[in-house]
Amino acid sequence: MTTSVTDRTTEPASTPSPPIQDAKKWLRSKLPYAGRWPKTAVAMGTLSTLLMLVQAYAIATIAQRLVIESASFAQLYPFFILLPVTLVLRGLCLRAKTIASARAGIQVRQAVRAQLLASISKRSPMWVRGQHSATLGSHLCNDVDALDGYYADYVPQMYLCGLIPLVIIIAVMPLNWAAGVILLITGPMIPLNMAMVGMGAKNLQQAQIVEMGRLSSHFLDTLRCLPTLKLFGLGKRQARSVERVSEDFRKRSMKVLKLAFLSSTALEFFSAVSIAILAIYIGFVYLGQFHFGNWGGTLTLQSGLFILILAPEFYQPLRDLGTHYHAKAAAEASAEVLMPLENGAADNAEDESSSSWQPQGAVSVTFDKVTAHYPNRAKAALEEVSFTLKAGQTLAVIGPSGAGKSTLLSALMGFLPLSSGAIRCNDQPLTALSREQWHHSLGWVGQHPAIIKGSLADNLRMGANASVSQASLWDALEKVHLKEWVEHLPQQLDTPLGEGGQPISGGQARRLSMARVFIRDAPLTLLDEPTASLDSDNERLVIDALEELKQRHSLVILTHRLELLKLADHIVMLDDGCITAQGSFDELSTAGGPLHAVHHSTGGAP
Amino acid sequence: MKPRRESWRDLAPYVAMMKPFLPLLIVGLLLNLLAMLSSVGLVAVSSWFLNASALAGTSVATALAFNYMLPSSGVRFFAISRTITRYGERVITHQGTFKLLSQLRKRTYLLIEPLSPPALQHYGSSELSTRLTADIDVLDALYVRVLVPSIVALLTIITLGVLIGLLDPAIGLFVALSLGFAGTLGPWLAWFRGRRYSAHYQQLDTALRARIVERLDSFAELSLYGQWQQECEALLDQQQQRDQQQLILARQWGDALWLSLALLGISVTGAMVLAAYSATHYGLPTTLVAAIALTVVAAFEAIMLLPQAWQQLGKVQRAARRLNELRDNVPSSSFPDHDEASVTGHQLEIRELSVSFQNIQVLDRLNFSLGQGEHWLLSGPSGTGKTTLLNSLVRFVDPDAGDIRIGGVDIRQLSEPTLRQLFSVAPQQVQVFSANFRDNLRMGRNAISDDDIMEVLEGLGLATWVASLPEGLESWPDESGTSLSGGQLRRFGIARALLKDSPIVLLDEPTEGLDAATQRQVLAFIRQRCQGKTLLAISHRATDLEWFDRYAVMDNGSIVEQGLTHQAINSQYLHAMSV
Repeated sequence: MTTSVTDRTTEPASTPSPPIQDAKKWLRSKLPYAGRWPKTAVAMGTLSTLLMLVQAYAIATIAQRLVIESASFAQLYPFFILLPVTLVLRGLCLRAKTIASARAGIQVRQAVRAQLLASISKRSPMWVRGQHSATLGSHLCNDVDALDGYYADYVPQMYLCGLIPLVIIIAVMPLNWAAGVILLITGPMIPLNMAMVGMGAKNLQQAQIVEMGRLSSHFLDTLRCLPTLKLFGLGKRQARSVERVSEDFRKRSMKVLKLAFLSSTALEFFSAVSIAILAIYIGFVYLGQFHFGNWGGTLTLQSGLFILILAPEFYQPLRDLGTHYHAKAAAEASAEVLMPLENGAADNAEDESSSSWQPQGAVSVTFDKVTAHYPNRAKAALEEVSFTLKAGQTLAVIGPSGAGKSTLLSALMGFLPLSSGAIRCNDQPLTALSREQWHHSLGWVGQHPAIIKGSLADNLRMGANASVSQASLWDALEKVHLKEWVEHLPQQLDTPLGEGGQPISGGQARRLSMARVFIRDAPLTLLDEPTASLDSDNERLVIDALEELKQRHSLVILTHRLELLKLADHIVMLDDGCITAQGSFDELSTAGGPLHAVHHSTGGAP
Repeated sequence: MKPRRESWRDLAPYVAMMKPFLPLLIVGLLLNLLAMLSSVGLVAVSSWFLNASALAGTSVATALAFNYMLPSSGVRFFAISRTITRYGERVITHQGTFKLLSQLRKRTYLLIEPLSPPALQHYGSSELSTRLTADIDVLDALYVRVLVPSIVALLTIITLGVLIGLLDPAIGLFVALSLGFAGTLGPWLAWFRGRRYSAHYQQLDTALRARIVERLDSFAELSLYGQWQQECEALLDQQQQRDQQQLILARQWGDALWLSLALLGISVTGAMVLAAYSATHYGLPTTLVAAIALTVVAAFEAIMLLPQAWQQLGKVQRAARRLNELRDNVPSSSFPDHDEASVTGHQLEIRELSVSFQNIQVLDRLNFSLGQGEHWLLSGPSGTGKTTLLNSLVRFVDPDAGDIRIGGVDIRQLSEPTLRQLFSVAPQQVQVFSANFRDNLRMGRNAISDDDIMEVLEGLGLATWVASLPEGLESWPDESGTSLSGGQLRRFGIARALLKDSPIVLLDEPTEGLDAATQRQVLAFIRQRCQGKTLLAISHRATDLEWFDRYAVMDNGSIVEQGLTHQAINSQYLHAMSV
């Protein structure tokens, strides 16, 4: 029963979209990135088979000389030298093949991961936020790495599956056509059989990838929320859930594997049976029971043994392909996950604007009857919102929780497509600007500041549009009152932050994000509750710093704080996605005005 | 954490863990051995059959006298037994391994569970998650890829040595020794040489994964600040470094293959030379010479894959070492298994409590008493240890000195379930699970009805929010609860705590981020709902005062002022803080 809390890790919002194009085509389209390496692998594999013929010849000849011709020991010397030499050379071929295969896989994966990261950068952060970061991360890690087997092993092996049996048939046919026919008949049945089993395995494999994603997000979820689980006394009980999710994973994996093993068993069977048929056929020819297959001549022990030694090699590439077939199925399933990531980035397609947009100083912002919807919600998140923020002024947006304040900021940042209306900056519609240009003009303090793994200085410089001196870093830290804290850290600005680094409180993270804004020095800064989590002393000083920032820049602040409202030149009151009132603080707080009650009830301690 | 050189002893607990699954694992091992022997048998019998029938076929009389029934049925038998045993072996081996892994996952989770939240933050949750999944998955190679093939190879070599030894002891000995040498040298080299690089590879791989997840988490800000491109390049750089190690490993694997084939060449040629010499000088049937050579080739299949398996061994050892280190570093649970005393009443007494982190004194001999049923507001500048005080009460933090008593009982005498039952807590950071909102609020207490839930949500002003959800309480949050705004998330945390019916309620900044009207509604509801309960709430907001009986002010890790709220008007501290 406790397990119900975290067992279901699917999110209705993130169901994968249907495959847009064929996974096979997609995989093939990435093959050129592997360069010449797959061909090198194929060449080395074929060369190794040719050497194998020499090896079989050596062993068969020794048998012929000894058994039939009763040769002396000394007559065998040349073959005792030939045999190890061919094996050493085959070893070198396999070494070269292994390295070429690894290179092929590495090159493709590097190219694909670069493409995916680039296409994510065109995505709206709203979309990224809607994904489970562990799931998306696992696509970028596991699914890209799952492509490896396709390019490193499967593709070269496909070619070898055609080439090696051909070489062997060409070697066997002139000696005995019946043996050649036995190989030819059993040979094609193997890929046929494999394809049938493989198709079923592919669907299951895809299910397993989904399951793997669930397993990983279940763990991350459990660990992330461990404090809460403990507070509610569920810490120990969750172990059962961990075990059960893991057992589900086992059951699902076993289903896939049982099928996978079935297809490789079919191969084993064909290979073993045809060796048996060949052995019995050739033996019976020797014993005079069979008289066909020799092109009218006689079959020597040398030829018969040569054929028997080659028989397993005839099936070997197909058996190897069988082991790689599941790498291929895994790659195809991964491709189906990766394709929409690569192709679906069109939701924020924008024409690269040629006009140079470099606003100096403060900018003005106008919302003109802006209406916007969240995906999958019928109700408008913003409805007919209109207001103007003049250059250099400060706008405060207030309203009850959930009234659409955060949505308004998202729209202003260009993260939410508008259903109707327009947002203009300095009389230029936002749609005419590339998002990159627009974002250069924005500073941002969000409710979940990004703390990156790196030094404190790296974290501060993250928002900088230009290079920043140490002095300005300290200056910014002082403005947000983190200077003293940083000075007390043993490594000061070099203190590592992020996972495994210096722990940082929610309030400190917020102020760090504030410091970034000072360092970034953008014409328009968006602030979401900038003084939340600060005590009144620090709040006072942050407001001082904001007043300083206000001198040069336009600000948009979401806030409840009276002090910040007093700082604003214009206030917009939102409720349920609509503007209920707007004006200056004085206008709104006159008797009968909407801020009157707030002003007087929040005024001081009772 | 100092990296320690992994040793064989690290693997001991995991080998021991196989005990309950031993029958399954042994059956898997035997089937594997039978499959291997069938495969060798097929080649041996069929090539001997060819040689013998060719020799018999030289004259009509010997051809007719030749008994072909036994060898030809042997050939068919081995062909079929190889197929069946191979399938059975694969299914059973994997079944056993997966069962082992489920146990391992559970145990590892239980290992991590006692970590206190500050320690968890130190490890980083995505790093831990990577550890749990990746390291445990790596351990499956120990059985499937290392132990089973090694044991099967050893048994195959012994069996072969004995069987060939029956024909000619010298050849049997040579075959066993040369195969044994090949089966030891390659794997040992792969393990010894590969250890460093595969350690490095795994480190880089873990770091890459952790970094990708972390960067996706802060994508919005990174993207807005134009940092994403740079982050991508850094990620690709990191990927390249990782792949470089993979290439080195591939090269080593290639070397191992080459060495294996060279050793095969020596073994086959040696066996053939000895057999041919024995046949020409000591009367060993000549028909056996090629059969012995081909048997050696077939048996080499058992050895061929060992180098790669042993390259994995280093990886397995490292995963085991890390899991062991985690086990050793987790403080053993300091909760007693059973309550050593029972609480009488729900008053809190905190005496001379001192807590420090990394030599910084956070709480300094703090004294504080809360009477049963009293409602307290705790105020003070940020960073003075208010949250640490709450963490000490729920034993997320263990104090350096002093004690905390509930109803006269030291909290260290209470078992964890009892202590958890005593407190309802709404922490500052509200964590929303990937589960529907109903399950998120009930937190395993399935007796809580929808009516209860709606009453609390309504009281906290969240009723309209629920109504706006497409499926009401059945709806699912986006990751980290971003579909709730900051103020809603805060109240969601309060609702979750209030639905847990515990006698002591702790609220960390319950009104942060709420507008004045909502603030009043929330506080009024908390007051009504917590009637008769001991309540401690942290707040900076002077306007919250009127909803509480008493207040206390904390500064520099201790209580500097306390009193009744209606007298707070005289407080200098509160004046300094009020807006």
